[in-house]
Amino acid sequence: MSQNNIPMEFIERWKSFYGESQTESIIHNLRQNEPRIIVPNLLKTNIPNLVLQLESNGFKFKKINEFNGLIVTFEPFNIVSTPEYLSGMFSIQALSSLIPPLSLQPSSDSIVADLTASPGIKTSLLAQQMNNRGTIIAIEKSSKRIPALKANLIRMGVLNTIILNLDSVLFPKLDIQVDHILLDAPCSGTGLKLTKNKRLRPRILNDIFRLAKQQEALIEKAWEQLKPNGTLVYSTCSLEPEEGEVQIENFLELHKNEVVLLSIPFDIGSSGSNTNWKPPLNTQLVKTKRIFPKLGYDGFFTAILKKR
Amino acid sequence: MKLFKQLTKDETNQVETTINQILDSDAMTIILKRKMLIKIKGDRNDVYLVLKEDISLFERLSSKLPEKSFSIEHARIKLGFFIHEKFLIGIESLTLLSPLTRKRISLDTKNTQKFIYGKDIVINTISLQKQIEHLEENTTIMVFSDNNIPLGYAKIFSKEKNAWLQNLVDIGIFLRSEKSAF
Repeated sequence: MSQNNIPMEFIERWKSFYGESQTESIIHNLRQNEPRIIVPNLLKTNIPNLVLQLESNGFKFKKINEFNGLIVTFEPFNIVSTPEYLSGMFSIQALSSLIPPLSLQPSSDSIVADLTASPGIKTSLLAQQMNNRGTIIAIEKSSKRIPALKANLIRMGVLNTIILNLDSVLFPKLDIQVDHILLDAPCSGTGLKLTKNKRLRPRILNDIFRLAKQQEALIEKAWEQLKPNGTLVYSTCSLEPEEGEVQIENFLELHKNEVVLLSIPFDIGSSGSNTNWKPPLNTQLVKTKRIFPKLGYDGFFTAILKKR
Repeated sequence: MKLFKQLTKDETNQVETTINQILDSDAMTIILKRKMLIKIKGDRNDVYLVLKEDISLFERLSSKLPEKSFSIEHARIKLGFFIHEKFLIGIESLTLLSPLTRKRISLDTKNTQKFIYGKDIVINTISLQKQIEHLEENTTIMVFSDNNIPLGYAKIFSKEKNAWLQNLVDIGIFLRSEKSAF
């Protein structure tokens, strides 16, 4: 049984966590076609310059207030064949993908680890915040995903990154202490819009529990390599609390004396504590963000953990 | 072979000279006073420009994990690669070098599209001729769009009365060969 290609078992559990009305909104928004949204690359350009150049070629845009995003409203030809795209002046992405790297706020002299780096859009946002200085260690487990990662970082003009083909659970073995960690963890992807989600239909609930175990191992390993006062941003594009709120709840319980949750610095989405999870979640989770799918946004969860 | 190795003096000289010639300046010589060149393990002998302090990081990486469990795939700025002991400039160097070059040509919109589709450009207008008239045949130059977007590298060729830019590499490669070229 499914509704609009979404398995009923997912719909039923969303109703139990988020209520009938929010679940209807989730289903409606997951089904929507996503417009093309571009975000300027501040290493190479700014919004007025980018808009001027693309509009002179016939493209039209509608501005989104959040994150300098632009919705492409008219595309006379494929925007990825423009010199502006090929020279890395902008990226194409859902706005929710911007939240984890922008929440990390690395300084230009910091050492940052991006533990699941491909395809590199989030890595390039880290480089933009660091003004292409400092060091990013971009780790990608899958060798098949390395060419896309390299191509994107080169196209976007990222000059401060070392790419390692490595399973992130082995990261502690490298014995590198870092100031910041971005862990956009492998997940069930249940928050992704259906037009780009090849994963939701064949998913079964066991996948969520299996992936939650993987995520738990990745956070634990990453935490070992974080310097005191360092920050780790954890995110997933999943609507399942086991991959978001509950994961962080368990981590807080295990590391009570060494972790502080920081607030997400954007007025967007809702608090991660707003679920009907039983038993009720730690009140600190009010600082995390649960983003439900809407125009420009996939369903998403993000938390910032600071090491004491 | 280790995961990386520093370039020999001869190799370093070759990279430095080639890039200085493309830029028509000694900018690469100045850069190399603060940074260094390495190759990382790979079939194409890719050349990367890294910070001197990166070397100790790479040494540590090599000593901490067995070689089969990981590889360095990219290190800061790739400049190009050696083939048959000759250094060839790569598209990856464009971000670093484009603000530094004095040898350049700007193309109009039509020729920009041709160039990023991998085509050569015939020098058939006074505007194009003027931009390269002071340059010798076989000179490698950087190619820009008329709104100053760096597009790639080309070599000047001429035969009898015809001259053209031979496309060496261009940013269209990100569209044409994302999976095979990087």
